[in-house]
Amino acid sequence: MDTELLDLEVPAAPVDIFVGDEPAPVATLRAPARLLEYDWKKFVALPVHTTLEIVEQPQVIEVPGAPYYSAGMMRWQGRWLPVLDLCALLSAYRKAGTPALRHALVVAYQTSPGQAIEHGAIAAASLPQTLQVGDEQQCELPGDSDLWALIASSCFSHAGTAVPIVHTGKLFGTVWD
Amino acid sequence: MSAIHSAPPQRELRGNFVVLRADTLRLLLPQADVGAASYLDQLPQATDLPGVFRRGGAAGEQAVVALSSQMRPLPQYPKDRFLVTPVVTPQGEFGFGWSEVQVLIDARLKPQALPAALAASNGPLKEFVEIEDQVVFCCDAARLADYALASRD
Repeated sequence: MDTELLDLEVPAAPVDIFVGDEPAPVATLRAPARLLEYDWKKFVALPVHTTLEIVEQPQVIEVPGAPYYSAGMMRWQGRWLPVLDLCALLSAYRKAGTPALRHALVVAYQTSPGQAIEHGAIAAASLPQTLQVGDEQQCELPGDSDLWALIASSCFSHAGTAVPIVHTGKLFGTVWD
Repeated sequence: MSAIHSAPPQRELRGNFVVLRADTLRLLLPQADVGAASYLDQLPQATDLPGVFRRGGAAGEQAVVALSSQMRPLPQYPKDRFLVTPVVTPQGEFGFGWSEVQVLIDARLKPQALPAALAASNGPLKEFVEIEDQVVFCCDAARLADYALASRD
């Protein structure tokens, strides 16, 4: 009996037959951060867990003799918080004719582990934004102020600029005379 | 209740005080540091010393200073500082011009410490009180004069 091999066209087994079953590539870890504009087109970031509330047009009381980078103090939830002007601190002087504060971001800080949590506020030129930051964005601190190394815990690149991540405990826990 | 968890009693200021207002600046001084207020009948005249003005009167001339909201002498004497109180300072007796003077008799006030980030080591103010929803900074004649007159430029 002749046999005829049936020339069955068997589809070739895919080489990557298990596509979809292998573990997915490790996703880049990203963490949320608050982006705060402290001067025109100049930004810092804060860990979201340290940021509590944005106060629009805060009523700030000037404090005579306070450090030059202090905008004063403002009432928040029954207590008085220091309001810092990062622009003045980083440029080592307060710009003449500084306009009234438009926004203040209330933050929490600890001066050292185990200490009570305290609160302060940072002047903001615009409404703070939230963004996701990945390790691949890490970059060097900007070179425009020696203070960055003292108040920033890291830095990342965003939209072509270096954005330092400010440590609120270092910022508020020091009197920068 | 454990004593560990009880809050320390808040300090109280008791006595006679004067609230002095210059624009948005409000200061609380012991009444003993401040002399009787008098009205200006005309603007004080400038002197050779920037920020120091001269006021004439029946009792003779008096140096007068008007403070900004930052507690610094103003180069021009504002028209609204028509109340002058003498303050005896280590630098001598100066008149300070105010917009408003209020005497508090046998007052009981609860001072609050300034936030640490605002209390510069050489600053003139460490505490404040709240009176009728207004922040009033606690001071005394010596610190007022030391800061205000030293910063005269």
